[in-house]
Amino acid sequence: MKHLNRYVIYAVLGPLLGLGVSLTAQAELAVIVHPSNPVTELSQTQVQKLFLGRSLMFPNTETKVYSIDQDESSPIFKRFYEKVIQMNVSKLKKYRAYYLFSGRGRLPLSLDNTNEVIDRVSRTENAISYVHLKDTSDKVKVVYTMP
Amino acid sequence: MDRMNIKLREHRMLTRSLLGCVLFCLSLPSFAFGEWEFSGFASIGAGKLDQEDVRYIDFTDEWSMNSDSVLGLQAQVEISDRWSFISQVVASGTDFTPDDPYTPKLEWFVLGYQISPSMQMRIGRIRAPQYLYSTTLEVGYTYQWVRPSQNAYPLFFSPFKHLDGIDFSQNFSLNDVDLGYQAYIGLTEGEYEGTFAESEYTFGGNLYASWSNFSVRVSGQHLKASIESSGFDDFVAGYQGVAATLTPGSDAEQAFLTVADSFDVNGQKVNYLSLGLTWGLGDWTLESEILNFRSEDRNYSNDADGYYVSAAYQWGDVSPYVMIGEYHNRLSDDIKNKAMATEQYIAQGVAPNVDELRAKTVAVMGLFNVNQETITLGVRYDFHPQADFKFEVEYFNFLNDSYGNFYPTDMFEKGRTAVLTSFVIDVVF
Repeated sequence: MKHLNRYVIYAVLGPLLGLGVSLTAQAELAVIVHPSNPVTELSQTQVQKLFLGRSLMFPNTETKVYSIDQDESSPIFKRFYEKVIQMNVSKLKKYRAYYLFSGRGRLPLSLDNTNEVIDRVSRTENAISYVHLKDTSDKVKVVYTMP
Repeated sequence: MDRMNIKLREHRMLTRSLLGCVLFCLSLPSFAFGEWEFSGFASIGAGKLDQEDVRYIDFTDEWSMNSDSVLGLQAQVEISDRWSFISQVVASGTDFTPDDPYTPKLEWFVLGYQISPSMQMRIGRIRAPQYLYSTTLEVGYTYQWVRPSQNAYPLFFSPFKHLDGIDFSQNFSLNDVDLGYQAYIGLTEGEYEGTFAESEYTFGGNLYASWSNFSVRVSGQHLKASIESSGFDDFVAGYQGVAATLTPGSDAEQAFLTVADSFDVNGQKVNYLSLGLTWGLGDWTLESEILNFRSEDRNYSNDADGYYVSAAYQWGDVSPYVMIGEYHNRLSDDIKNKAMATEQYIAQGVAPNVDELRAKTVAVMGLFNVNQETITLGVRYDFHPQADFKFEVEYFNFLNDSYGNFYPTDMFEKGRTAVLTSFVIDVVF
């Protein structure tokens, strides 16, 4: 009976715990800019172009983009590039090397963690980066989200 | 023996220096100094052919390291929102010039101006964007293989790999399709295996379209080239020598001088076209490029056609690949015809030295008619976020009694097949 109860508990809690883990992993992603940036909203395609360096200025502005990445080993880096930019990390590495050494321009600045990212974006008028939506504050402006 | 020891010592010193450099590079991310940003790339490669008395790039039947080893450093700065500057210096183990291996060469030195969010203009030294990977030819990390296929990246075109001039590029979107173009004009010059080539002008452009995981790129270039080849000095001297024995101003003298003059090229028009395709199919990446090279049919000139098709499968950090390709080069019959035309002034059998000169001319010109098929099997392993290791075996099947792009010690030796085994470690930092 004891064993049976344990199985029931596992059966009920297992999926819930699994769902909980899944929800944590799937925390909503937010693309952020400086609050003074005139851009209010970006499409996924625009976000892709800005982070891949295919567009060097914010849409409908003359402001050059200063893109900032999370640490390359962080889960959010992998998820952002796979889900939002739709490029796996392996391809991204080759693309970035190609971009840099074919004279296209600079690569995004890489920062260690979300706090540093938010701090840098809040102090840099032309910056753009990404964090979990739950980590945003009024120090930055959210211009794109992805569940 | 002494020579072998010296060679071994050189290799050890080179290996140590390059390994030191790679370990140092891996310990660094690309870093910024003020507004300047510094980055670089390096490759250490080695390879060996399966047969003696032949050379391909710098490969022989002994393990050698110069063909794929390279070090490059780049400095760039964003001067303002619109202006930027990039400089790149590359030291290659083999660059087909008489300079010592690893002599640093300036490949990029360019000032860029961002006209609008999608439009850019640059002035200075840029890499000529002839192929998919021509702007990063020395950056092994950017492509799948140990080196891009020589079937579509012909070695003889290496003198024109960069140009001093101006370019203009723009990209835009049409529904779900990304489109772009680049146009450029400038001057080029360089050397390849004893041949010095320069252009009076070079202009060209490319168009690309990218939709979902499929992209296509068409590139074209036109140039007016002058070529001086020291490798033909003996022939030039031979025909001039015969001319000197003939009546000055006669048709006969003129016929021999015409052959002598044909080994140099002045103001020859050259057209180059290439088509590149890339298709990502889940974990598969298919890539292909097709080359079409045409030059004005006179003097020392050639036409070339080639292609490769590559399929790579991404399995975590490991990516096996297979590549097939073909290459055909045809030298103009112009020199051969002019040499044979001298028979009307000094007939066959009259002067053995003249007969021999003509026979050698025909034979040597025939060596430039090369035909080959290749099959390459390899694997790329991304063992570090900034480095990869590649190993590949390339099988060459030489057609029509040619020796492909190989240089046999005995120039009349005919090739049948060859196998090149090579590996490389590529690093970016």
